[in-house]
Amino acid sequence: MTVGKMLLFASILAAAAAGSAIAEEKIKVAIGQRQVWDSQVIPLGVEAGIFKKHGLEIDITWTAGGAETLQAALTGSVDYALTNGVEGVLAAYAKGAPVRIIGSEMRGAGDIYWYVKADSPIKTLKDAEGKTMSFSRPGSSSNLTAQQLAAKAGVTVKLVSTGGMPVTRTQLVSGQIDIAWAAVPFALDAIKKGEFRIVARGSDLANLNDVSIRVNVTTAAFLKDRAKAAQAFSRAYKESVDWMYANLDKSAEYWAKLTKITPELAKDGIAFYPKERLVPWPISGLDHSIAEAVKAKRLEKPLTPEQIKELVVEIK
Amino acid sequence: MTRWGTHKIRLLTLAGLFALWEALGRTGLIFGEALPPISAIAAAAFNELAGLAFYHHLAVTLGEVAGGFVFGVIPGVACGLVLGARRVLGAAADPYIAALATTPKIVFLPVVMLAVGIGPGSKVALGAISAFFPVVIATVAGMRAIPAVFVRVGRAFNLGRGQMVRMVYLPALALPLVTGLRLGLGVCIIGVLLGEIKLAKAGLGFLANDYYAQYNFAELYAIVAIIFALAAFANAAMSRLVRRAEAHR
Amino acid sequence: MPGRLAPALWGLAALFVLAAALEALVRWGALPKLVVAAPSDTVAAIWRLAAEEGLLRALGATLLTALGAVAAAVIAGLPAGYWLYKHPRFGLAYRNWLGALFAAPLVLVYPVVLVLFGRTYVSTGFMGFIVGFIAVVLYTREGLAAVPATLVRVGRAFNLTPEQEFWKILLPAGTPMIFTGIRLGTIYALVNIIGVEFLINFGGLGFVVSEAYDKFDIPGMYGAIVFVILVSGGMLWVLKRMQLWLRPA
Repeated sequence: MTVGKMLLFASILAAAAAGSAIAEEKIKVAIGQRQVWDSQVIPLGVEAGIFKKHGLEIDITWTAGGAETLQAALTGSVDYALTNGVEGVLAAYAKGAPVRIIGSEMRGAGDIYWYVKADSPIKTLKDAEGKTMSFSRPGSSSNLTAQQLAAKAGVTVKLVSTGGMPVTRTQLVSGQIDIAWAAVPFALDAIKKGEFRIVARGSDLANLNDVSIRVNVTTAAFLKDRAKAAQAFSRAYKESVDWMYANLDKSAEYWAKLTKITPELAKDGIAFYPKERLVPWPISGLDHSIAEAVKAKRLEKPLTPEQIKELVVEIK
Repeated sequence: MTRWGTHKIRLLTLAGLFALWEALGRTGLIFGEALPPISAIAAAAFNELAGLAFYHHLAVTLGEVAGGFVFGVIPGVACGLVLGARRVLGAAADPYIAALATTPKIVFLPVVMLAVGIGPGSKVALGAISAFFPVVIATVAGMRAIPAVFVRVGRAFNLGRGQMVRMVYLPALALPLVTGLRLGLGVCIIGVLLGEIKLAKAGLGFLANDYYAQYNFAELYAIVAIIFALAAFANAAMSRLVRRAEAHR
Repeated sequence: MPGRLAPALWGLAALFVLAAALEALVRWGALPKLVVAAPSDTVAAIWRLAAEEGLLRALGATLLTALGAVAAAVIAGLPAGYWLYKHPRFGLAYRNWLGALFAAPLVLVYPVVLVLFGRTYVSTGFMGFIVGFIAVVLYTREGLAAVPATLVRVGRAFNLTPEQEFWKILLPAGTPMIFTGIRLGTIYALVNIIGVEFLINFGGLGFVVSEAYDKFDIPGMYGAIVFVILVSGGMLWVLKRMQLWLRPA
């Protein structure tokens, strides 16, 4: 072999070695609800360099939080869809979608609360007999939570679908509804200032705190073709959750900047999310969710144990 | 009717509206927090334009609009030429095109996602689908309005297909075409922005939706005002084109 | 104009062929079932939506909202257009503004309208009203301004009062253009209403589409979209017939 060829060979080897060290695997994710705390796991994990450490480069597309998040994964446009309502995932799976649940995104409805104007006579839901209580849309978690909260307080309220949080807030202020719904950190600043008062929280439903309301999914194809990347992703995600709560000052500051609130208010908001609600494994309360899905007619019949085993995949 | 008279009316109207808005905004009458005073909106707009992040979003939206416009206009004109020239084909396609034209294109978002993914391509595609219809409809109408004598003269001179297009069809189509382009640009902008609201990581629609979700109305209005200003600018440019095409008749 | 039957048959034949091709592609698995529905499933879904999910009630809701929006647009727009005609200084001053507004992405203000009127049919109707109103005002003013001066002078010669002048001369002569404005206003109002219903997941047909999408009922979603296209086409046909009846040209 000539010197020239040896040099060429050596440089190719060097380039290959350097390439594999530098090149990160690219993973595309779709995340709904840009503003909420539990959606910050990946952005914070990326900021903290955790995903890079695991050899991953994450590309995030934000959605409005509806079915398009899951659809993006189903069309192959993204590898992971996060923050999906578990019942929607169950419905898609039952219709033949090759989805796989690989993590729990949020347990319980602790991120939702109901508030009233400061001068309202309602102190707790027990005072809300006959009043109007709002939720976002029929079938949403705010809908179900509102129903259960009212039942728990033993009152009959007029449940009204008011849509998004901004609209709902204005309707409360103008007197069209008595109790408005919101998710952290919406209106927390006004609540702190005393304009509004919280009268009920999703976390009041203790039994729900052990149910994975939102889950993270990927496709069967991804798990098969890119098993190593999937492993790295799950590990990095778990580490990111740990980091978020171990570095509350930094994560609160990041979230505060994003949502344009003060870091103190951010920390108040994070208090709504005890760490155990965000820990990605196991998928809690799946039987409960399946039963609810059947009741809501999103599933024709409960999933069989074989189906559940196929749908839920633990990645260590 | 002097131009100064028109200007005076416009200025006075604007001044009156701004004063009313400022008053409503400051007192919070009627609309409460949903209507910040003009001064707050102006301040928010200034902050936006002074920051760097805004221009990234602007570039994304402009790129998507440009892409959507091109990919909508070229097929639109091509189809319009064919459908306008062939009577049976054109008559057959008419009802379907008309019905599709009045359907809000945002409902095709899932199909678009399948075809081109969820990146800027999906917004470009929505813009293209939106722009296609006014353009094809205007082109077909223009083709049908070409006096038959023009076509016969071209044939008498044994003009080839390309020459017919260049020397007979396109000049005669100039006005309807530009009118269609103007409408097409308008709906293209709408399609792109709505797509950004539903599904995006950047863009002016995405930015506006973010502010809305945060209940930051001053910033929301500021972005909307900037978008309206840009749309008005584009519309004015198109109007100028229309007037030039009219002059050429 | 070729016989009306032949093109219609060709159109249906082409539609049939495309539907068959799509059916085959979906059945063979070439297109993912959860993103594209087979035409047979889509048609069946329309039936199911009508029987179980209140599709017809949704249709009624959307049409009523549109009717209300257009009625309000006409009631407010005709006098406004007439006033602009009677006060040419203002007419000229506001003409470009109205044109620019008409082409602007007005649908972007829906979050604000939502916050003002709540998640109700008033909000969706208002979105339709805005575009309808602008169209009616624009075309009414243009239509009245285009009435030949001789006709107006004849009226003067007979010493007609303003009311008589309006009902006997201006309105009849301006009807074609005024009705074009009403027609365009109706179409744009309907498109905007359905689009906003889709975006805010509330209301009639647009809501049925977005609801099916959210439930991953893909055949239902396409069924609803096809239904929307049919309704749009039907509305266009009705409007065209009305215009012909008003002014047999």
